[in-house]
Amino acid sequence: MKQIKCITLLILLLISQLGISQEKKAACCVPADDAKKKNVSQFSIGGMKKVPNINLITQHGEKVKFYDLIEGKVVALNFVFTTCTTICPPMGANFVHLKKLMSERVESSELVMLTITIDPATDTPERLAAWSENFEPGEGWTLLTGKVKDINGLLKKLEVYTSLKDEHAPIVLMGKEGEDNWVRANGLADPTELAATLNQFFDTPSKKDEDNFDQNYFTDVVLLDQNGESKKLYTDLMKDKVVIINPFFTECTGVCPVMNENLKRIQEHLGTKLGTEVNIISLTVDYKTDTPETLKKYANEYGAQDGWYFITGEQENIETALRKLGKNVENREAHDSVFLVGNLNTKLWKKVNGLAPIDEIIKIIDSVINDTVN
Amino acid sequence: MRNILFLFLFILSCTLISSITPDNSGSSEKLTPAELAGKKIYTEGIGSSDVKITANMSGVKVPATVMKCINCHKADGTGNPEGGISPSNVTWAYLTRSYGGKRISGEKYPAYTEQTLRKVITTGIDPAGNKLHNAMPTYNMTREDLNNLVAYMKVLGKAGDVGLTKSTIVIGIALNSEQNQPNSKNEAIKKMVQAYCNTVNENGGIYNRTLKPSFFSTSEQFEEKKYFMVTGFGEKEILGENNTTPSLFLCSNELTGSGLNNRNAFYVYPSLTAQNQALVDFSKENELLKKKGEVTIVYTNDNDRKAFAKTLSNYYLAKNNVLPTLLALDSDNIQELALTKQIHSNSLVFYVGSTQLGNQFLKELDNIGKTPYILTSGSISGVDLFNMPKAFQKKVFISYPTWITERSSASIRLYQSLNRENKLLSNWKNSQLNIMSMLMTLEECLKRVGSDLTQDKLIGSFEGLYEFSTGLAPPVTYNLNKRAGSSSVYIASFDPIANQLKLVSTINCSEK
Ligand code: HEC
Repeated sequence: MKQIKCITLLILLLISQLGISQEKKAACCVPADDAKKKNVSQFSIGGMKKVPNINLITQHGEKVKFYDLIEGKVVALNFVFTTCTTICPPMGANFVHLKKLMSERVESSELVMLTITIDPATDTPERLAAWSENFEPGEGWTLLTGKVKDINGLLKKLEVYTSLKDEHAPIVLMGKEGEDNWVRANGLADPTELAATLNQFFDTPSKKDEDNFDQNYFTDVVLLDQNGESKKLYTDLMKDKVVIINPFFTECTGVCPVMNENLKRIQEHLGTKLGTEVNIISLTVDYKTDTPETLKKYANEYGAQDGWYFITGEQENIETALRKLGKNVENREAHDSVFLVGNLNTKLWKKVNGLAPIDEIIKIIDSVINDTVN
Repeated sequence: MRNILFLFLFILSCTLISSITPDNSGSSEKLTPAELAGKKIYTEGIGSSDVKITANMSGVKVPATVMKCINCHKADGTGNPEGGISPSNVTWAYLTRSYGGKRISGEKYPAYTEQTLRKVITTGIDPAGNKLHNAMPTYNMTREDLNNLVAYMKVLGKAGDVGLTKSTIVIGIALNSEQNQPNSKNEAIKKMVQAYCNTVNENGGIYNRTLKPSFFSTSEQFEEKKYFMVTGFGEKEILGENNTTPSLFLCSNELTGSGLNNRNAFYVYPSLTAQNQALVDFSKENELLKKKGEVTIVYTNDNDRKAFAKTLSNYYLAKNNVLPTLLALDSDNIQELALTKQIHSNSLVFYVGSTQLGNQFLKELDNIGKTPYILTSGSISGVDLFNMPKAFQKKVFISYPTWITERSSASIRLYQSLNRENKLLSNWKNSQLNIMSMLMTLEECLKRVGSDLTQDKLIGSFEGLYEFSTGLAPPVTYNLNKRAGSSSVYIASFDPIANQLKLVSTINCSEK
């Protein structure tokens, strides 16, 4: 689910209009914008339960039933036939690569990787086995054949049926059985993209992957705090924390003092949580004026404690950070007055108007702090 | 008139025999070594250096053998559109059109040169700097391989298939050995082939092409690869494992499985392994063994037969859940083996060995009063039914890949008329009937393709044969999963009253 949440963050960042709080958590599917970018489209067949539980035979000759294979699992499913030479070998190679990327999930049987032949009359189990061996697949890939009628019925239900084999498209379906948000993707796409899509279907994200995703997104661009210390954006300021992020500059006399008064109240509310569980990150939009020394003085004015960071940095770095957080602006006066509140553990992100009454702001911040993984 | 014809045939046969030596007139192209090496890359994904060629697509790297050019661009380079992906025409004439080409996106690019062709293969960037669609892999290969590939691509699609011109089709005829004495088996086969091809050619050939047989008996001769297709005898030894020329042989040693890994090879009869295994099915169907147990496989210890004995034993185990005892027989231990406890009058013995030793073994068993069931495959082993001890008359069963009833009188008459007109050496009649049957099948498949002939289409034509009968062998059926045309194994035993072989059962065997 982590990518989803990050994508949610991105969407939040894209929304310019804001109410007092906008909230979107753990969307069920890849949003349309993203779909285009990633060669995926959403797809619903009303839950896999409605799919016929047909009899199939694996490449090893075992008799299985389709629904039994996928029940309760996250599934990656593609369609080939062994006499197809143009797109099927690359699809096979991609699928095996995807399996490698997802090896933990495959080994723990949380993910099943299935390939169904669209030419069951020709593709006997032996043939499927011989075909799959081309890709040195190892364990964990099941290829399936069966009765022509059954398989055609299934393909129709999955909306991948073509009457002419040669028109069959390189499609891979991904989703979780029982859920309604399956995704149809291009089976020739970069497997790392497919893996990212697949990962969003797991309820219990593997921590390691998740951190990597955030780390890759936010990056560890190096910044400076009011004490002149280097801080890596993700690792030193955000990792495992709840963060409250706002843009400002010291010479701003309009909204900034109001926001800072609010942040001061929030600091009081947080108490010992500040710096341990929660960081406040005030990012300058005027790196030229706001050197660490200037920021130090400014921080003292508001009585900032450990855990309230006033951040500047080299142009390129601070601009990267602002961009990643959706706070980049053409000129300093254009910065917004929105607090971005995010829980890096649960991936819940909310936006709060930094000029709103303090009680409302604190309520929202607490809801982010108290968020738990499901 | 007749004499002139004979003289003509004589001269023709001389030229045909001499065509064992490399002869280029029959094939439309003779590739240079570089082009040949390039062809291997294009069609098989195999280069000539130790460094394996790799293909890269969407960040996935695989051996080029999985993604060979021919998969997407076809043998003639014209491209094989599939699933919304359109591989380009990559013939040299097309790539170098003076006005260049246009990508689907509308971007134009100038005509290719050798240099830009090398670049597009390794980087996926066309001469205008456009990135190709990612369905075209990028390849990693040595400079030498790349040069060879480009050399081949310059002749790609120009020359048609090897061994084929507008007026001839060269058929390679594999002979088991080089012996060429008069009245030898090879001589008999050659005469048969020539007589048959002459008949076809005199009747207008196949879509105006004449059949041109060319005999060979060593892998070196075959390596010249000047044949459009091959048939004959002794496949594995001569053609090797990775033959890519369409071929029709009598039977393979191993199970033929599906055609996925050896698309080019077709066989008339079930594999020798299947012929052997049919005996197990037969013994089971007829419950020759009343209780479980007491099964031995007696084999003579040469490489081939030892391997057959081993697979037979595995097959028996899989079918009956009993592991047979394997016993190696030689001329010194016959008595000893005959005394083996597991062998007794109610036991089962599969025999994999020569006829001579087989009969000696039966005699020895008879001496000590044992008459087990003996099951043996006539194609790789044998027992001389006419000279074995009387006690075994009802206990020996032999499997054969064909049976006399599969021969039609029309086809036999055709053979006899060929024989009369061409003075065939009919003391090798069985081999002659076999090659004649294979030639008839080839002729049928060629005719079905029509004038627009390619090796690929010939294979497709084979795959379309259903219950096709030459009247000389059991009917053959081929499809994508079936490379052994006939699946029937005939089980025979001795009929003492008529003093001849009689058919006991026909087993439908499996090649899996
Ligand atoms: C998996 C299918 C596939 C394989 C395998 C493949 N190609 Fe391609 N090839 C394509 C596709 C699709 C295109 C068209 C790309 C485009 O239009 O952008 C293409 C384009 C090309 C072009 C560019 C022609 C042009 O339109 O500019 C050349 C040259 C080429 N391939 C050569 C090769 C060679 C040589 C090999 C083997 C070493 C090979 N291809 C293997 C699919 C394939």
